[in-house]
Amino acid sequence: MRLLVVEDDQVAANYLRKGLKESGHVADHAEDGETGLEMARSADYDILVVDRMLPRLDGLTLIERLRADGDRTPVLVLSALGEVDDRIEGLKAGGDDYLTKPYAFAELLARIDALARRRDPETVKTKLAVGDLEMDLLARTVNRGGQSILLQPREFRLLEFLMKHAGQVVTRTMLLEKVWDYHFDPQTNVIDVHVSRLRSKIDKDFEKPLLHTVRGAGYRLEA
Amino acid sequence: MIRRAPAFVRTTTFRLTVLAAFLFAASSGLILYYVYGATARALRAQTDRVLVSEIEAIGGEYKTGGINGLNKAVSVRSSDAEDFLYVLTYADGRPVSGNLDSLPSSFEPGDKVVLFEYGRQDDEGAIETRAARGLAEEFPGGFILLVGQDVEEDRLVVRRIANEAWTAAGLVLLLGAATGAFLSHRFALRVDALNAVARDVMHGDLERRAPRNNTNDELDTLSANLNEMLDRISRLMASMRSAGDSIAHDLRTPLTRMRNRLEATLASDEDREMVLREVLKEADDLLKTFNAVLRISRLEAGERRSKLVILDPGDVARDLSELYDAVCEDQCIELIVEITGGLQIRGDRAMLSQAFANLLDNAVKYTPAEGAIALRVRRTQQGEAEISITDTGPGIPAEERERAKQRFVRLEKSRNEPGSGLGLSLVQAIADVHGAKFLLDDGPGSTSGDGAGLRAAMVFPKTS
Repeated sequence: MRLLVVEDDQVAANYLRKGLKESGHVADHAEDGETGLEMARSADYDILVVDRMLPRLDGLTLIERLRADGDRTPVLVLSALGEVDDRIEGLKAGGDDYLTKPYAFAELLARIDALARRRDPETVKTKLAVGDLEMDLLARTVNRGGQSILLQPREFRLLEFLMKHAGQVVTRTMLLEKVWDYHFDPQTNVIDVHVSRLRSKIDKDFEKPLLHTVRGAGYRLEA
Repeated sequence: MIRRAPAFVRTTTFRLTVLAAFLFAASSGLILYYVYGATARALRAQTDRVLVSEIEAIGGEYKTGGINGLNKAVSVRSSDAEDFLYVLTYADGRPVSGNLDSLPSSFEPGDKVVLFEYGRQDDEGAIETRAARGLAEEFPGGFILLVGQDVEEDRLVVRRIANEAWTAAGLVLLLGAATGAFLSHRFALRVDALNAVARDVMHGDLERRAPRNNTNDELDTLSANLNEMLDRISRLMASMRSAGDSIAHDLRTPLTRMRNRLEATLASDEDREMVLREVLKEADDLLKTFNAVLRISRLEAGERRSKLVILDPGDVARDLSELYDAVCEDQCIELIVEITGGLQIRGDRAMLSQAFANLLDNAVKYTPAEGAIALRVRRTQQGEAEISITDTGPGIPAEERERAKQRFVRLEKSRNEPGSGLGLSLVQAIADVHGAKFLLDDGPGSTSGDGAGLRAAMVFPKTS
C-alpha cells in the first residue's frame, strides 16, 4: 500500500516509515500540514496517517479541507490528546480512526490494515465466512462445519468484528473500542478472557484452530 | 499633576444617582411649570369673565340711551368703581370719558384683548406702574370702549410660582447629588476593600480574604464568592504542588531503575533482547502513568463538567458487568449484579465507565478465588442514586482510606501488585466532576479471613 505520513517530528516519522516499509508498504512523508495537504491532493494514496498538531496547518483542518474536496481517502489521526471529546472532534473532522500517542507499532499497523479493508466498500453482507466457520447476521446464528454454535450477544459481536477483519491483526484496544465502546486501558486481562472463551466455543472441538494469538499485538482470525 | 475627581465621583452609583436627581429635578420643574401655566390661564379666564359681563352691562346702556347713555354710564362707573379701568374714545382715539386718559399704546384698532400697563397712585401719593388686562368693544360711529382690570396681583402670584418651580428643581438636584455622593462613597469604600484584596492576591498573598459584613447583599455575596474562589485556587495549588512532588518521587524511581538497567546491560553480555522487552514494558507503564496524571489534571480542572447528560446508572453498570463477567468467572470469583432500574443521574458514560472499570480492576486484583464481587445500583434512603462495588478481598484499613484516594499513594499491601497508584485518585476526580461522593467502607469480610473486604461507592446528587 502507498501511505502518506504527515508528522512534524522527524524521529517519529522516520520510525514510522521504517516500520511501514518493513511491513511491505510505501510511505511518503510531509513535515507540515500544508505540504501534507498538497501531497495528498496531488498523489493517490491508499491511507493517510495524520498527526493532529502540525505546523502551518493543523491535522484536523487538513482533513476537513480534503473532505471538502470530496477526497474520501481513509485517514488515521495520531494525537497526544486521548479524551473522548478529542476523539469525537477527530472523527467529526473526517478522520476514520483515532490513535492516541504513545502507541505500539503493532497497534498502528493493525489499524492501517483495518482502514485499508474499509476502502473497498463491500456490499452489505448478511453472511460471513472464515474457513468452515459461518455467521448469519440476519438470523444471528453461527455454525462451524455444519455444527451450530451458541453465542452470547456480546460474544456474537466480538466474533462478528473478528470475522469482518479476518486475516488481519486485531489488537485488544481495537476490540475494547469497537466491540465495547470503551476508551481506557483495563488493568486486568478482561479482553483476553473474553477471547479465550470465544475460542473455546469455536475452536475447541475442531482440529484446525481459527482464532490465533499474535504475540505482542493481539489476535487474528484466519482459516 | 492632574487633579482627579474623588474616587466616589467616578463610581457607577454616583453617576446613576446624579442622573436620577437630574431627571427628578427636570420632572418636578415640568410639573410646576404646568401648574404655573394652568394658574395663569385660570386667572386670565376669570378676569375675562368679569370684563365681559361689565362690557355687557355698559353695552346695555347703549341700547337704551345710545352713545350718550353709554358716555354717561362710563362717566358714572369711572368715578364709582375702584376695580375697573374705563376709557371711551372717538374713532380717531380722542377720549370721550373714563378714568384712563387714552387708549393704551399697545392697543391696535381691531384688537379684542389688550394687555397694558397703567399708572396708579398708591397711599403715599407716588405713581406706580401696574399691569392690566382689558377688553375692547367697538360701537356704531366708531366709538371704542375699553374696559380693563388690574392684574398686577395675579402677575405677582404667577411669577412667584415660577420662582418656586426653579427653586424646587434646584433643591431636588442638590439633594440628589448629595445622596449620590453619600451612597457611592459607602459603595466605593467597600469596592475598594475588595479591590485591595484582589491586588494583594495578585501580588502573591493567597491567604488574603475579602471582608464580609454578613448582610448577604450583592457585595457581601461577591465577597463570599471571591473567598470561595480563592479557597478553591489555594486547594488546587496545594494539590498541584503535592502532585508535582509525587510525580517527581514516583516517576524518578522507575526512570532511575530503567537507566541503571540499560547501563548494566551495556556493560555485560546479558541477553539484550529480554532486557529490551522489559525496559519497553516499563516505559509503557510510565507513559500510562503520565496519561493518567494528565487525565486527572484535566478532570480536576473541570474541563468536562459541562458535558454531563441525564443517563441511567444501571446501563453503565450493566455494560461494565458484561466486560468483567468473563474475567471473574475465569478467576473463580462470583460476580453479583444487582441493578435497580429507572434511576437517573447527570453523568458522562465514558468517565463513569472508566471510574468503575478501575474499581472493578482493583476488586478483581485483590479478591481471592472463591470470593465474590457485587456490582450494585440502588437508591439510597435519601433518594440519591448510588453505584457500589463490594468485594471480599482484604479491604483497606479505615485509617488509610482517605490517603488511598490521593495520587500515587500505594498502600503497603499493594506494593507488589502492578498499578500506578493513580486508580483511586482518578475515581475521586471523576466523582468530583459529577458532584458525587466517593466512599470507601468495610465490605462483608474477606473470604480468606485476613481482612474486612471493601465497599467502594459513588453517591450522585439528585438530578432535579
